[in-house]
Amino acid sequence: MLLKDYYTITSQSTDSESGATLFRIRLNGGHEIYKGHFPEKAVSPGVCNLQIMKECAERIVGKELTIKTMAQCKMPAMITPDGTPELTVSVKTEETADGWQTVASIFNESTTYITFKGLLIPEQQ
Amino acid sequence: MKTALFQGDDIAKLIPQRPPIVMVSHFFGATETDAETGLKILADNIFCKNNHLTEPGLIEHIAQSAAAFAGYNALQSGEKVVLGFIGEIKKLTINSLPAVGTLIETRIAIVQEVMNVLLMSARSTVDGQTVAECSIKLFMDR
Repeated sequence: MLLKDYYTITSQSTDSESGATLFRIRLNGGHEIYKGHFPEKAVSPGVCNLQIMKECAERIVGKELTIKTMAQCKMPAMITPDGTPELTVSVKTEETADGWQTVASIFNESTTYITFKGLLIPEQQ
Repeated sequence: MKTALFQGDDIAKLIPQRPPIVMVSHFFGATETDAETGLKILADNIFCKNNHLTEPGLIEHIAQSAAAFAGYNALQSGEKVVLGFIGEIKKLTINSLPAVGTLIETRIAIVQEVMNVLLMSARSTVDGQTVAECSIKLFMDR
């Protein structure tokens, strides 16, 4: 985990219909990042939500990954540690010659907060 | 290095983010359509791993650069600097992850501004080499 104790994975399963891996996560509202994002209103930074999806993809492929290209990443709603601490991360990867084409999203019962479509490659360093 | 209009703690005048997630260290200047920012990567940057700034740090730098441009324009017209949220990122390419100690320089260009939505394009370079580019949509909370 890049940001220590940013979230906890509470369970993992496979969606039999889509073949995607589903991770139930719980955000840690006490993380230091919320001191700065933002001082008067704790909002999980979009890039941190992106990082969560990438780390879930790393669990699936069993390798550390880097985002090489991102065709699109939409963030239609805000994730807040107080309002939406429990979330589901859905990740589906497909191995190609270039890396892993990945489709991912984070949602709960009512809302989709972020969607990602991009290419992940093995970490370079 | 070029002279910055804002740097260090003064960056807080342009963006609402505060430590430990301030990912812009320099604001070099702006025209009506373009702005130039920078981030000197320090070893204690929360998005650093193996001595390099990782993708979320790089993307957050681009997003905050866009926010700093909006903040600079707000200051110029005597308005309040407001919160901005990333709505969408498209066509992102990352060529390399910059190392600790380097200065990322980012050029932001306004593509379109409609109501509270700012569409911008961004290119980040280190020593003249492009490290990342993308188009980014920000929702301004105003």
